[in-house]
Amino acid sequence: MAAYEYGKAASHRSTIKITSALCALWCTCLSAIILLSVKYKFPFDIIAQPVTGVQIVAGIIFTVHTLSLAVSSALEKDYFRIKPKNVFKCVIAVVCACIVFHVLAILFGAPALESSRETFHFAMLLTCVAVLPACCVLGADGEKWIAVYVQSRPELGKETVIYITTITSVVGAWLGAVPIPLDWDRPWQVWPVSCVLGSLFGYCLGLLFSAMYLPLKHRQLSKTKLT
Amino acid sequence: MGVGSKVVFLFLFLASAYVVGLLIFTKGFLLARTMIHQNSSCEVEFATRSSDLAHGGHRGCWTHARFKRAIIIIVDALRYDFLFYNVSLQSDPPPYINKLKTIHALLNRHPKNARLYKFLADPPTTTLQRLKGLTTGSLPTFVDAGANFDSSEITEDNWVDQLVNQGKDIKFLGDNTWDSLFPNRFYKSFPFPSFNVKDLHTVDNGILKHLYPELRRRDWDVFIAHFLGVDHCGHRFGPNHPAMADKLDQMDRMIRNVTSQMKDDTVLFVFGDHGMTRTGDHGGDSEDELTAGLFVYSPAQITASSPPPQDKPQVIQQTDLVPTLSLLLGLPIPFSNLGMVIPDLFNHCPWWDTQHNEIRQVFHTIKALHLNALQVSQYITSYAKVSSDFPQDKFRSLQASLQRSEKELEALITSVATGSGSHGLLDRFFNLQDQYQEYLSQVRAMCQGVWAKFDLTAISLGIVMILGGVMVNIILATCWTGDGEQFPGYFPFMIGGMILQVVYYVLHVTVFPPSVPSVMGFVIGLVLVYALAIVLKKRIDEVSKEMTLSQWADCGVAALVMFMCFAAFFSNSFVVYEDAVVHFLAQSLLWYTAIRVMINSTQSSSSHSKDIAGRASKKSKPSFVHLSELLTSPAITTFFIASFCSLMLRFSIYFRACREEQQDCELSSFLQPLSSFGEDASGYKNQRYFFSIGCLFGTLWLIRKWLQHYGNLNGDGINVLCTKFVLPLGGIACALYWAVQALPPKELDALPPWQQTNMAQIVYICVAAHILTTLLQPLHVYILDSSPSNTVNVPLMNRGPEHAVPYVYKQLQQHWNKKNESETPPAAYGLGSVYSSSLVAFAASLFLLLGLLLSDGLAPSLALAVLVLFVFMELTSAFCIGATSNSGVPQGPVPWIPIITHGLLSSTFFYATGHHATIPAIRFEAAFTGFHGDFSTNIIPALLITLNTFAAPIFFAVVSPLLLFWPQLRGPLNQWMTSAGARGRESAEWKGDFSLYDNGVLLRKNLFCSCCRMLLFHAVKVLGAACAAALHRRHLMVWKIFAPRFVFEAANLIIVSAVLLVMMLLVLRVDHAVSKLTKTLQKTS
Repeated sequence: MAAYEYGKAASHRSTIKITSALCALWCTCLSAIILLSVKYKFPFDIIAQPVTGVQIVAGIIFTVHTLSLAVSSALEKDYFRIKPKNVFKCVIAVVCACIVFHVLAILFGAPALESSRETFHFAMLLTCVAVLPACCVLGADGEKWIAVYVQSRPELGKETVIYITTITSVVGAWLGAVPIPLDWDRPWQVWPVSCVLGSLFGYCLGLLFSAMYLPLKHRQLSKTKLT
Repeated sequence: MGVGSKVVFLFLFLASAYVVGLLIFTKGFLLARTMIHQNSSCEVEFATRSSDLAHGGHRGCWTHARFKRAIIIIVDALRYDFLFYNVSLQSDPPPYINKLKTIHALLNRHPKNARLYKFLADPPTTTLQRLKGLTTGSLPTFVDAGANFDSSEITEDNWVDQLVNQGKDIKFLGDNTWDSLFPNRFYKSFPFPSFNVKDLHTVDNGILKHLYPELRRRDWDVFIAHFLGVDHCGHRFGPNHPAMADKLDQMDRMIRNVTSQMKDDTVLFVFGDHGMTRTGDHGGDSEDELTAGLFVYSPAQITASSPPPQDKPQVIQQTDLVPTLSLLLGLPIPFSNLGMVIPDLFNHCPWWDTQHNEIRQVFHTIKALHLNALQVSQYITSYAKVSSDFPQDKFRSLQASLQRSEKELEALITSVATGSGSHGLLDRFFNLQDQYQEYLSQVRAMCQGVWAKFDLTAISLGIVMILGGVMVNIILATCWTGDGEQFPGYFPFMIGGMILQVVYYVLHVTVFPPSVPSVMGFVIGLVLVYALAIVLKKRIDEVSKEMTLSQWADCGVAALVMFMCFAAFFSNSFVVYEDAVVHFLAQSLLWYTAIRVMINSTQSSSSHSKDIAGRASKKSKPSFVHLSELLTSPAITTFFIASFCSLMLRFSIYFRACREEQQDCELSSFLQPLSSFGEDASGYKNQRYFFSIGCLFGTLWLIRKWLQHYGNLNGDGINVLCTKFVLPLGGIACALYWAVQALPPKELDALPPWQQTNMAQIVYICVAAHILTTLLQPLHVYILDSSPSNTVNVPLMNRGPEHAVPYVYKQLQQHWNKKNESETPPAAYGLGSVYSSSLVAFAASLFLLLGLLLSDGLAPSLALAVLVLFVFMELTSAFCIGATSNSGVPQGPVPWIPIITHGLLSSTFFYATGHHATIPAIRFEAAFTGFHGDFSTNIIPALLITLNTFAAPIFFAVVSPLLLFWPQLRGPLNQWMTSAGARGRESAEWKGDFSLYDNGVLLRKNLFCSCCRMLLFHAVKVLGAACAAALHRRHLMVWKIFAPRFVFEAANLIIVSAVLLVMMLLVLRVDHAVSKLTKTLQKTS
């Protein structure tokens, strides 16, 4: 991907390493929770009660992201992003994304009126994994959003991670719809369980991939810089 | 040879290669059984006719005739639960329950004179197939299922022929299918047309008029009456309709009258040839369709055994009627019969004192079974001689078991004669009876297994052929680019190889004896595929060097979706829910396109000016100025346009039909004809009627508006006038026709036939006139002559300049300027959309025709399709313009993403026009739009049904060349979606699709490439369906799911390729006319 352009901040090796390690850690925790829930129905049963499950998982993801945002801005002594105006913008963005995902799910064939509770929770989860992290990292700065999502030029670091995880979680949710028509009569084939699981797995895979991709890419870049 | 004819021939060649592949595959997959044209004769060694005469009875062939006469009454689609009398009746029964009271009374009053059976049909449950089974006793094969409308004479041995040979007289009344199956066999016949399923009464009343007098005359030996009213009532209203109760009451009265007139030497069979589904259709193999009922009655005693309990009815096969009837009447059993006599009906013989002697009862049954078994044995022995179908060991073990039974029978006869060993004799007899029955049912099972056996060679050759076609198609669709008129060097080899393959395969399948090994065929096919793969690899390597990331993504997504379409055929669940699957994929690609357009426009606008930001919902500022700017930014506009398109597509779900396997599906009310709603739903009726009319006229108005926008409706050319006036006239006629059809059935039937149909015929005439004028004079262009007198009064058009888009022909202008500086050049109205307008006009008339055929309920779905297509075209052209890197208009053929989306939309609307890939889902009633039912040929109904079934694929194939022209037009939506920068660049010189005229060779090549790509999508789907059918040929559901899917997909491919060919010719015709026009323009200047 020759399209990448790198700013000054990206080149810190330690930052990359920390981001990568945090990604791996977060991926491990989240996938452990999901696997526990799928396999042993503990601490909650996401298959039998997708609504509660989604509420808990979305809650965890939300807390982790806001906490990490708070911690990182505290560390960087950089409070400008947490201005009320910017927060308000981000909240509007998240709400809009949630509505858009809900409508999209219906347009793609989810039942229009019945089980709208489930559909909404699915949309909420997808927002949590695909849009919320981006809000935390990019804030309300439209230029940055365009640079990352439209021009596909994320800075190496957090922005790469959210770029990758957004794509993988949306694709995961899309692929999650594939097994729904099959006649296996499994409980996880019921709408929206497979799509919820798909987006979560997509998110985890994206995290894993970016944890591996970041150091590799960084090494490659620093080599090309030296030569 | 010009490029035009080259292109047409190449396409024709490709399509015919596919058709050959499909035919070869079909030949192997839908196997027909080998027919043995041999008839049973009266003198056979295993039956000694003299011995039976000793104790009286009527003279017979293999055995004595138990009855002298038989009455056979077929009530089409008489399901078992129509016949069965439910004593424990619930409070609110469906209208078909407990209507045949006579039968119940007879069963109760004379338990030994009457019997009721469940009468299992062998699928397919179409009347023609059933009649074949019911007279010859053989098993059907899938391949004749389609031949229901082309019934031809039965050539296998059957009991009708046997009766004629024995000099018996048959009298026949009813369904004229019998007359075409058995021409000149009947001593007297009263056939009535069977095809008009709307007509509930003509056939039945006709039969009833002649039935009693003819019965009373007693100049017949066998009397056959075939009633159709119940079946037609099912087709028209379904079983749950009061009309069904009336019909069954009528049948009940008929049975009562017939039974009261019967004498002791007569036996009566009343049965249905198949059942019906909940919706009243038949043809498939669901339980409701298979379980017909059989009622046997005679005033004389016919059985010695007591009736079975009510809740456990005896189940027999429909083929069992053949030997039973034959032996009861003393006929030889037809040669190829596989049925088993009904044991109950042979355990009583009035001349042999079976009344109180159980051994005699069993022995009498065994005699019948013995004859039956020997006949079946003779048949399978001679079948094994002509064909090696039967597994040898199974065949031998069956014959050996028959030998054992025969020996046992001899031993038993001697022991009865000598009177020795009477102890346990009865058990031995019963045992023997079981052995015979076991033998007969095992033979039947073996034959059933074998005749579902496939010709694997033909199947694989067919698949290899289609695969070769797909490879050639890919190469044709990708490798012949650029300006040159010449083919690449390997083209002759490729086409030569393909011709060789086609010729060899055809010879192999038709001419060569089966002993020729098929290795050669595979070698040719696979070598060809391999060579083409190498060529393709090289081409891909070439192209991939210069591809950008987004192009890679496009190719990847296109390939992924294509693969998913292909792979979905391999799972029965995906085939069952294919309507949802294709809808999902179509939505996905639609949104992919939209996102690409959004990204493109944001990129260009953000590079254009830093202020306007895309992705704006995330960045919304409360200030209103900013917000409005944001909402009109191209990305957001695109988002809303895509949402609209997507929403329209989502609405199409409500027009889907329900497949039998889709359990949680509710029947959409759009699929029920308006006339089926009662008085209480008149409000709904009106709403729906006006909704349909609104959709029809709204769409016609939209098309008209579009043509007006591009200035194509100016002037007084005959085609313009036709588009202006004939089409709306057709629309009005269509609306009136729907209104007439919405009348309650009774009032509708009271109208004279011409009044019922004339409105639809007016629509046909309008459509034909419009298509004809479009073909004769394809250009919707008006040249404003600029002779000095005309240039003075300029406002000849009453439309403003923005309505009539004047195009100044460049060369002409220069020419003119040289000659006469002062005069203005001639202006041509509508030249900017000269290609598109002809296609749109053509599509408009087709819309009217298909809308009429789809009937009022489903026409809105087609209107929805038009709307979706319009927005999709705009979206796609924005996509195409974005995809071309240089600033100009797109030059190449249509990219893959739009092609695949278009194909998926076509599949989505196939389902959204109330169809499914199953035979019962075919809407046969379409054959009666505009015709009253008495067809002299089968061509018209077949054509109308095909048009109805494949309405969406045909319509989408017709509009597909527009994908090529649309990006040139710069439609209004398209301009909103592209950024201001791009807009400014383009508006300077708008030439519309006329710019394509400049390079005729490129136009033809691009057209060809695009059509090839379109065909490729369908061909890959056919390949998937064929592979899945071949792979799952032993699957439980193969005849229910995979085989019909393949048949529909194959028909779809053939139809689409034909339509695409026609559209290519049409575009060439338009191009020809355009070049003529420019020549005359040059001359006049």
